[in-house]
Amino acid sequence: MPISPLAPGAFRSTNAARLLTETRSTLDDLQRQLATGKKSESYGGLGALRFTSLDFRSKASEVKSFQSTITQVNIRVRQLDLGLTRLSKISEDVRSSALLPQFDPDSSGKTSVQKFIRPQFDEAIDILNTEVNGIRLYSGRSSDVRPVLDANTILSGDAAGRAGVRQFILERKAADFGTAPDEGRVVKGGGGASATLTEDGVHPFGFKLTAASSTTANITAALTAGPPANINFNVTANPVEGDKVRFELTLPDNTKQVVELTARTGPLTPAGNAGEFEIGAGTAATGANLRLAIAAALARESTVALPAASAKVAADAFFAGSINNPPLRVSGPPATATALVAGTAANTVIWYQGDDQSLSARATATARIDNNISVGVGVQANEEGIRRVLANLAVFLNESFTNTPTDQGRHQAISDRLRVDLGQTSGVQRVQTILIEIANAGASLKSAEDRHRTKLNFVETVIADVEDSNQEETAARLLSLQTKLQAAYQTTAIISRLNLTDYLR
Amino acid sequence: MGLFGALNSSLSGLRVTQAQIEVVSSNIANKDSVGYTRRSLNIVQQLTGTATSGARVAGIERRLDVLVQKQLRLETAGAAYTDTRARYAQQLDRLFGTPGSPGSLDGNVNNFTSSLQSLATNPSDAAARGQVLSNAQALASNLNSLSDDIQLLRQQAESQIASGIRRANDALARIADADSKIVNNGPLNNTTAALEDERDRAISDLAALIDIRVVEQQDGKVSLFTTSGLQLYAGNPSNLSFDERAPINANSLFTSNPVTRGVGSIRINGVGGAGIDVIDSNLFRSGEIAAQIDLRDRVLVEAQAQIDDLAAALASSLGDRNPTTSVTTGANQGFDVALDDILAPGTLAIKAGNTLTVEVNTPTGPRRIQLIATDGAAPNPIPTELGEGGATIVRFDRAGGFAGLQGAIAGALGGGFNVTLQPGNVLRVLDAGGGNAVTNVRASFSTSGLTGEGPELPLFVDAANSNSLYTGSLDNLNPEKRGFAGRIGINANVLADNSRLVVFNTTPGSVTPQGDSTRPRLLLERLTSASRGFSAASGIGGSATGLSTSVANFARRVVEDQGAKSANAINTDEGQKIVLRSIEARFSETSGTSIDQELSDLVQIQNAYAANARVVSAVAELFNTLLRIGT
Repeated sequence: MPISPLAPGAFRSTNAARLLTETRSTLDDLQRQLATGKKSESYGGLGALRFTSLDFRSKASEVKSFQSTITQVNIRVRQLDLGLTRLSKISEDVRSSALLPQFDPDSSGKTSVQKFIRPQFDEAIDILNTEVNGIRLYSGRSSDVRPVLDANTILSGDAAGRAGVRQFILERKAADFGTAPDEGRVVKGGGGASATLTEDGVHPFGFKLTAASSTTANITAALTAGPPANINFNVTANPVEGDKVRFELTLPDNTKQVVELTARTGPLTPAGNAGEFEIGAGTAATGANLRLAIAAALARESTVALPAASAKVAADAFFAGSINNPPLRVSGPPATATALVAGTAANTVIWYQGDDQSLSARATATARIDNNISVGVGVQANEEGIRRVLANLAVFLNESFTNTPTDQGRHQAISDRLRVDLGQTSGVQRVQTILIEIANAGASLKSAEDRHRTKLNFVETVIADVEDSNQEETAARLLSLQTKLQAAYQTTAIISRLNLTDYLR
Repeated sequence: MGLFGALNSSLSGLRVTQAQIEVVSSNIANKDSVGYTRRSLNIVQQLTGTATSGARVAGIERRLDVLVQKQLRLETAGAAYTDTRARYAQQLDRLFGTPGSPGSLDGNVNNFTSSLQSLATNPSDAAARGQVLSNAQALASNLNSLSDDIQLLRQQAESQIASGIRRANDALARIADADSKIVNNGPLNNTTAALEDERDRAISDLAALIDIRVVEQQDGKVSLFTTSGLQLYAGNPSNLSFDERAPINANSLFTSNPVTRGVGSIRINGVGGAGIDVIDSNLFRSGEIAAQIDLRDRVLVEAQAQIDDLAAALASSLGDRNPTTSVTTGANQGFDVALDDILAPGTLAIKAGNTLTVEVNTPTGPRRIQLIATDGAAPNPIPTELGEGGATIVRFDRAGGFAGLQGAIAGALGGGFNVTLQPGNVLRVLDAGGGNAVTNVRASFSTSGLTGEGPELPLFVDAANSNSLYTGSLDNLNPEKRGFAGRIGINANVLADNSRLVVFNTTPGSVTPQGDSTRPRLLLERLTSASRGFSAASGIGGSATGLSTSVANFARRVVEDQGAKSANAINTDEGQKIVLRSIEARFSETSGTSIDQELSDLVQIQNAYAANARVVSAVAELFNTLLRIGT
């Protein structure tokens, strides 16, 4: 209260009154403390511990924001866990169905394995487009972008004529096949006693000739590595029954197919039996027979294993594409193509629209859950493990079959490739790999959550100690002050009555 | 001596007792009057020749302990000073909010950092972005209103000084008036007690305003001096004048020069020291006016400097780039600084007010050099208090270009270091061996756009100054930082497009994805963990070196500092009040009227009167007896 001028004679009574008002305001303050539970309404009133209050309040705020981060990230982790578990299950189920595939094409050319795969593919696409609170979980940092186009566009392209997987596979198949009679882009030649195979150019398509051998000295086998590579078999003397010549074809998907041709004394039943050639009357006749056998073998390989490999390679290429890294497709007329070219936005469906710039998919969504702990929970639909599942499924979905041994062979070749590719465990990323990483992040969240709960508890206790008034203590002080004040009031009243005036007559 | 003598004596006794009753009645009547000192009657025997011929009133005496009175005046001035300080400090403390409430300054900072943390987790979430902006807005608004309130308190102090000066002039006039009357009545005259009381009351009023010393003169006159020695009154009434200014803002500061001064000053007219600027010469050291001056020119200015520091740190920590990289060439180590403006290559990235700090170790100890850029108008040399605490300030005119900057750094570092300009306008600071080492180079270059420069974001700008960029420029009449807390606001361009909280690159092909957390994480890190140097002007951290801490922590230190100052002021005031009360009690013991005392005196006076009257009636009887003898 401001300084008031002194009236010396009234000092005693005004001072007594002042003491009473001061006690009274202490009483009011205690009452406020009891009502609000707080020691003070400003930092000044907290005393020397205001430091603690300020620092611990900031600490509490920090811990609370970590907690809310953890809550948010937990939702994401749980969703990712569900989605990736399902993707992994799809991969397993499809692989099992391809173990002993039933070859039963219906009138539309689809086998039961394919019919099983189609809904799985649709579901996988759905999972990859999961959205939580407006955030796409499988889109890396482009969390506002729907990462994956719909299944039909991916498979069949769109109305604007952009190529989907089907177009990719068709082009690649044609490019790998070339033109008959040079199936698989290998030119068959030779004359007289010799039979030759020559790649038709330097390009990534068709069969690659990678080995040639003979079990007999009567037929020489020579491989010129090239490129383009060629193989020259020369019958120097007639082989005996059971002698073999072999050559190895490397398919576009890097699988190898060994063609083995066995010499037989004729006549072959049926003529042109696969894998055999008739020993002729002389080296020239045998050479001619060998040429026939080679042509038959290549014709068979280029309709069974080659299309399966082409489809696999094309689908892999398609799914490796993203906005900043468009997929490679066949350049020019396929049958005579000699190179791959990156597709453009105008002519190619880019199945993955999300973030493709980050080195690590996990780092595309990080959350700081403690002062020095960050967890990465980003996932991109184009990660190797996920896109391998999609590519294998897409290969199968594109094919159609008729009930012929050739188609059955192709069906088997595709099944085999799927089984091997989805069964890889070492050295490659699988859906499970991603799942494990996300689960690890989840475990970090859990332990951080426990830590924060304990910490917040401690911090809030300290804040309460500093800022909160002790209710019992306040009540007790209030009572004793009340007693004092009552006594003071009474005494003041008595003293004010005690005046000589009353005793004088 | 006969009956007539007796009659005369008792009659004089009756007169004296009547006078006594008069004094007692006056004492009782004025018991509660301000400044009334208890009177008593000085009764002496009346001499006729060598004999006593009765009693007479020699004078009315004020019961006064002069020493205690002097102490009382001094302590009144002290109490008025501490009381004023405490009241303002409490108001200032309350401005920072209730502990833990959402409106408190530290609560605002905590909320802002929390929302940034949330944004870093979900950068594309529209709600998280909105939250960051609204919390930033709340923080800026709080700083704005803190600044306004502090300036309002200064305005209040200004008008209180004016009112104090009016009251002081009034008191001086009353003193002069009473003083001249006392002199006219003569010191031995019985009637001066009331005038002296009146004069003392005016002196007491003055003592609460200004710390004064009273010197009694021989003839009953007084002279008044301040404790600093300035004569306020000596026979002639002197007059104080104050040129009150309004409105007062952060840039209204006290200077010796009346032209540049933004606040009023006190001048004395009349006796001794006419025309002296009282505030400039620091002549009032205690009392209410001194407290108001102190608040206006020091305490509140410092509080403003603290929140200005905080506001400036918010703006530049979020918006400034630090394009330095460490570099090693052979045995020498140091740092490279990219000086090129990213948006306008070939021009300097350092803007007026931006800084480049070089920390080195030399065989004679560590040195810190802070280069501050200007467009030419900054003071030369730049006062050290405008730079980082403890640093040597180097003024750099941007007209000097890249070479000029290199030269300025090289010149300031001297031998032992190699400062070169590398291709691409890169400044290279290397040690040249011999026990010298470059320990750190820090640049603080304002980014001007929202995109294209880096993840830094000028989120806080000078909103009251048409949304302009805050660079800390010293080029104008007032440093840009002064009063910035009152002008800080959110960059309108970010408000218009909150995706800029995340997107910092719009170059096709490398557009920042909406879910990229780089920028939110940088902002959070700059606020909570990156350490910055704060100027010593804020008074936090004590020493001249200033404080080096994170922005969030500095905000807490500001609140803490104001809380501690408030608590201190209140404690000091309580102590001073206790001293004042005890002096008042001692003064009142001597000078205060006690009814009991007066009434018992009254009984005595009644008895004396009755006795004197009895003597008169006895003399009358004796005269009657004598007269009857004749009949």
